[in-house]
Amino acid sequence: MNPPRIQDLKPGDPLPERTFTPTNVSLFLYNAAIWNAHRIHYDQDYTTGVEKHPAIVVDGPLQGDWLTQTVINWLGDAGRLETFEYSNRRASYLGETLISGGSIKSLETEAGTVALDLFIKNEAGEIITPGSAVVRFTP
Amino acid sequence: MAGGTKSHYHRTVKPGDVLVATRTFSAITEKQGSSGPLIFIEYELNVTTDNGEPVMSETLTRIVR
Repeated sequence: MNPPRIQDLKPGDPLPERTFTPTNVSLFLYNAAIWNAHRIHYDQDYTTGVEKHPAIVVDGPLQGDWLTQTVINWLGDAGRLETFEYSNRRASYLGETLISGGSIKSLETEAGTVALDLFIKNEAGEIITPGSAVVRFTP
Repeated sequence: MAGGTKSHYHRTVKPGDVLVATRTFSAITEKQGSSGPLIFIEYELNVTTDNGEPVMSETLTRIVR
């Protein structure tokens, strides 16, 4: 895919979507990589018995990382990420398929900045992790 | 539990940069959630070069039941 050009963009344009179905192996690897030993991400008996979650919990920061990837995979070398935020609003559990995506919120063509709305949705279509970002295109 | 993150990238990093990261425990507040009280903890992460040039700053929220 060619990197985007700011003059081709308009508010509402979508960013490429991607689906993720975490497995207990992928969650184990992610948590090993971030040095997180919290058992709700790999120990079924502990997760349901002790912390009373319905199932193994998909990491909130992992969803944030998918949103960062949504931006930088779309932007490529055309610019750089300037601000980025997300908020984990609703839990997600092992077995769910999640969708990452976003859209152009607004542009300041002269300044070279583009504001983006970002989301992680579940299969019911609920936005469980909303986010936003500002990217600055290289002149 | 994870609550969210707000990051600002001031400049890109280059080979040879020496970075200094400071993490500050900045706030703790209690809110009433639908299933009982929740405690919100905030951390500030600040990254600069060794001569003080800002590189990245971040607010990280964690939620404790």
